[in-house]
Amino acid sequence: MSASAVAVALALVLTGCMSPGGEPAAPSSGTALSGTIRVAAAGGEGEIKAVQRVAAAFTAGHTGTKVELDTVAEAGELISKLTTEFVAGDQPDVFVLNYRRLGGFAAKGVIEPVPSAASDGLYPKPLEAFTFDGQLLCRPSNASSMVVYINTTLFDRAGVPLPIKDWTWDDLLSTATALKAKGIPAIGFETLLIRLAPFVWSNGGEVVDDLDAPTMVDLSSPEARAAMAFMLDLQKQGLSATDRAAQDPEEAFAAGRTAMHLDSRRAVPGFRKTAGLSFDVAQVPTKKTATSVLHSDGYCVTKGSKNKALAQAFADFAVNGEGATLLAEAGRTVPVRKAVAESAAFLAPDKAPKSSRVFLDQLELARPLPHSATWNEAEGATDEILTQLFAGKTTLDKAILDIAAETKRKLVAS
Amino acid sequence: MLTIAARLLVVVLFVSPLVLVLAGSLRGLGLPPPDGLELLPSPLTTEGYRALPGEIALGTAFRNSALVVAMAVPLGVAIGSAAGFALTQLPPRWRRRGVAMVVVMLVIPLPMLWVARFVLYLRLGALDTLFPLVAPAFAASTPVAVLLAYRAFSRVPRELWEAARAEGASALRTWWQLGLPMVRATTTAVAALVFAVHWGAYLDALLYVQSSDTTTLPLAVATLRTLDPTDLPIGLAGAATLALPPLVLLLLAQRRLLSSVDVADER
Repeated sequence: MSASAVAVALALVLTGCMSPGGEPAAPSSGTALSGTIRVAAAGGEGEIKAVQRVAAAFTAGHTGTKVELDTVAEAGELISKLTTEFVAGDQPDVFVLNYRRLGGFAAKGVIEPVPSAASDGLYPKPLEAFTFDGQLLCRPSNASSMVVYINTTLFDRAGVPLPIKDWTWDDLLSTATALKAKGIPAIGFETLLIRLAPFVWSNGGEVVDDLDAPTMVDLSSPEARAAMAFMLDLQKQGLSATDRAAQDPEEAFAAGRTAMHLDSRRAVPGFRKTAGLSFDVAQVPTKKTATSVLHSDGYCVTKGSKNKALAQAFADFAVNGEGATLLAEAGRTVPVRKAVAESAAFLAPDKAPKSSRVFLDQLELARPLPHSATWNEAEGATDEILTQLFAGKTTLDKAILDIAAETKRKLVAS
Repeated sequence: MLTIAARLLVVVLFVSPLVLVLAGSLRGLGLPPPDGLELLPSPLTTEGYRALPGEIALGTAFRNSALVVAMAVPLGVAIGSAAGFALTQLPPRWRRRGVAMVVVMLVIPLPMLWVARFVLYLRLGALDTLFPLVAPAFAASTPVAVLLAYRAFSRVPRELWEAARAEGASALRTWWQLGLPMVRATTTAVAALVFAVHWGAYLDALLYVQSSDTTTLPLAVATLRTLDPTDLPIGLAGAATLALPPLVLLLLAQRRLLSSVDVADER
C-alpha cells in the first residue's frame, strides 16, 4: 500500500477521533518567549532547507527557545503522521500544509485561529484559501501559481518565437506543433486536476458542481470537456504517458528534453542549479479569461500546543518577519507579504527566471481549488482517473463519469 | 542450458536495479538528468556520496539503524524460533488453532495498529526513542518468522522431543540444546528476514521518530526522494548506502544457507 493511500485510508477512519484538546491561548505579547516547539513539515529539498533556515534564524533571535523540526518527504506521509499524532494527543505545535489538504483538520477544529492583526500586508488570495467558516486558520507562507516554464535554448534552436504576454490556447498549440515539427518534445505536465483546473476556468468552466459546497468534481460541462480535449491534444506534441513513466516531466525539462513545462514556483531552485539550462516563465495561456490556480502552503498552530505563544511567534516570524525574506531568497516560494514579493529577495533580477513578475501578475488572477473536509481525497481520486485518461486507458466520457462518481462518494461522505 | 539461461535472467532482473542505482550515484552533481538509462556516467565521480552527509544526518541515522538491528535481530530470532517451537509442542487441535492465529496476524492491516501503538509508546514515554523500532521484535518482528520456525521444527520427528522430555529436559532446554542445532539453516533465514524487517522499517520510523537525533537510515534516505533533479546522484548514493548492509548480510547468509540444510531435512 502506498504511503498516500495509507494516508487517505487512515485520515478517513481516524479524523472522527480527533479532539481539539489543548490549553487556552497563551498571551502573545509582553511575555518573554522560551521553551521548545515542534514544527512538522513536508517537502522537497528547497522547502525543507528553507524551513531549516527560518528555524535557525528564529532561535538565533530568541534566546532560550528551541525549534525541533520533524520533516518528511511528502505531504501524504505528513498527513498520516499528523492524523495519528492528533488522535493520540501528541501533535506538533506548528505544522506546514497546503490549503487543499487542510480541510480534514480544519473540520475537526484542531487548529488555533490566527490573530487578525497577523494578516496585514499580505496578498488576499492565499488568505481566502486558508479561511474556513470565516476564520483564518493558518498563516500562508507562499502564494504561488501555475506557470509555463520555457527552455529558451530549445526555442532559439528551433527558431520558434518565445511566448508573448497574453498568449492564447491557439498560440500555445501552434508553438507546441512548431517545436514538435523540429523534433523537440514540446511540453510536459503532470496529469493532475491542479494542472487541468486553470484551463477549465480559462474556458469559462468549473471543476466542481457547487463552488461553496462541492459534492463532486464535475467536468461534464462543454467548457471542461474542451479543456480536457485541448490538454490531450497538447500531450500529442510533448511527453507521452510512457515518457512520463520513464522520467517525470520536471526531470525531463531539467534534462533539456522538453521545451515547456507546467509547474508552480517550486521547480525554480532545481532549475537554477541545473548546468546549461536557460529558462524563463510565461503566464498560463488564455482561452476566454486569464487565470491560474493558486498553490499555497501555510503555517498552522495547533490548538493542542503546550506553548502557543512561541508557536504563534514562530509562525508569524516565518511569514511576516525575517523568515519571509529567507523563504523568498531560497527561490522556492512566492512571498505572500507584498513588500517582500516586490523586493529583490524575490524578483532577483540577476537570476532566472527573468520574468519572475509573472508569478505576481498571475496571483491577482489565480483561483484556489476547494478545501472542504475530504477535498484531499476527492482530488486524489480525480488525479488517478486523469492519469488513466492521459495514458489512453479510458475515454474522455468514461473518465468524466468515473470522476463524478468517485468524488461524489468522497465529498458527500464528508 | 535452459536452466542456466533462466538463472541468468533472474540474476539480470534482480541485479539490474542495483546496477542502475550504483551508476546513477556516480554521476556528477548539477548536471542535467540523463536522457534515458545511463550505465556508465561520464565523468565518474563520488560527489553524490561526499554530498550525502550534508543532506542527511548520515552518521546518526546509520548508528541508530545499526543499534536497532543489533537489538532486534537476536530478540526477534529468539522469540520467533521459540514461538515456532512452542507451537509444535501443543496438542494437534491447539497447534492448528495457534498456527491459524499466526496467519490471522499476517493479514491484519498495519494502519489499524498505528494509533494503539502510538498511544502505548506515548504512555510509556518511549516516543521519539529507538524502543518503538525494536519493540516488534518482542513479537518475533513478523509472523512469517514464527511460521518458518514452526515449519522447520515440525519436520523433526516427535520421538526426539518425547525422548528429551523423558530424560527430564525442560521445554526451554529442549528448544535451545536439541531443537536449535537441528534447524540452523532456517534460523539463519529467519535472522535475515528479521534483519530486513527492521533495517528497512520506514513506516514505524515515520510515525514514532520525531527528531533528527532518533532518525534512522530509511527515514533519512526517504527525504532524499524529493531532491532537485540535478541532485539525484545524492539520492541514489543514499539508496546504495541503505542497500549495502543487507546485501552483504545476504551474501554471507547465502553461503551458510547453501552450504547447510536443517538436520531435519537430511533425515
